[in-house]
Amino acid sequence: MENEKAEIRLSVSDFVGLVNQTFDFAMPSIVIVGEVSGYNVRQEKWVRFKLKDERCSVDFFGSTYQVRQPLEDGMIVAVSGRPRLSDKYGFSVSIQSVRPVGEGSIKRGFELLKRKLEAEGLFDIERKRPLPELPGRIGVISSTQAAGYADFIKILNGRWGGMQVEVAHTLVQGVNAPGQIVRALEYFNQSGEPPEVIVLVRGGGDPDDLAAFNDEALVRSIASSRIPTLVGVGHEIDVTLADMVADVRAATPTNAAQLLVPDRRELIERSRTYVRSMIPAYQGHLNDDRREVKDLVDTAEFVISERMRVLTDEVASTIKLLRQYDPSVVLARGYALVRGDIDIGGVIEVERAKDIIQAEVRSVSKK
Amino acid sequence: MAAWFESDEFSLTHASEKFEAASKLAKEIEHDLSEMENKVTVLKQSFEEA
Repeated sequence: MENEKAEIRLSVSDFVGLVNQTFDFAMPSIVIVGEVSGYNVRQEKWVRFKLKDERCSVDFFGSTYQVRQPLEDGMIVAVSGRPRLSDKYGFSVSIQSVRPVGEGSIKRGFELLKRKLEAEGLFDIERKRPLPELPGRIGVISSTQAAGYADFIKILNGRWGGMQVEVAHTLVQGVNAPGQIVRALEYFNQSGEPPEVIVLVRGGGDPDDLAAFNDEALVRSIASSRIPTLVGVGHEIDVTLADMVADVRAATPTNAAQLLVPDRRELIERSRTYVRSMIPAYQGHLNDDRREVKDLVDTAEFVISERMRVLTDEVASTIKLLRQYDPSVVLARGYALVRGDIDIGGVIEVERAKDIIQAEVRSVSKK
Repeated sequence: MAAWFESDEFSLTHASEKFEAASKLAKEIEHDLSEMENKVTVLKQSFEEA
């Protein structure tokens, strides 16, 4: 009798339902880490693989939407999922998200996705658009608590002003980050007053922290943005697929601000330099004009002095000539000047150099 | 303006006037650039999955 009470009799369907309820209650979401084996994609929609370790292996099943990057056998991944007992396929873990774990697997996942997207031409140089020269509206996607965001805003405000900066606060690491960033990209692209450029920034971190920026859906969303994109993630040495697909890649968030706007201090200095450069040019022209005036004055002085010399010579000659006609000079040579009435009996005056004689005319005869 | 000082159009008659205008413009640029501030707005919109 007691045995009958302890026994639970269920139909197969009820059993499956009960097991799934128990799983939901006990393990609503778990993360299992293991090595991928038997990786298989069907109809480009459904993904199936096993995760194994030294002793066990477990089946996993999901859609390509959940598995956001290509995998291959041998990669170590962390799968977030829910255990399910299917009435048709037996036990498996229903995949919610997958991310490679460990440097080797992260690198391999990166390479696989990079190769795939490269083949589609997503990184082609012909796709790159220039950033607006002086944007009036900027859309920023970042975590407002992140150091990279603070660096970007600080440098941006220091370099340029007068811009409308709209910030979409999102996660920038972890499994939920790509989805949030994709929605932020969609928000800006669908905005009634869209920004002229979208800037995606995040500071440095280890490869696992930056893995969100190697998410396939995020990379495709950046590629399809109708607004030009500028991505500055991590440090100089970190290159993510988001960087590669962006219209412009910045090495760091600080560099993103530098690429986006000019430095007002440089422009102020340049305008000062322009003004300063006018002074020597101005002085140069003044010196040229001074030289020209001096040359003219010199020429005028020469012409005037030459003319003076000629005139002086002419005056001297005239004086000399006039002297020849001076009666006193003739008298000095022994001649006499005769004045008066030249009639017989008339009185005449004879002027010599040193005396004047009065004489009476006794005879006048023709020569 | 700086180019005008180097060009053939330069004339001493207008040089002083041009230089003063350039100095004034440079000061205005400096003032305007220094005063410009950005308006940074953090969107209230949540981007978490609905």
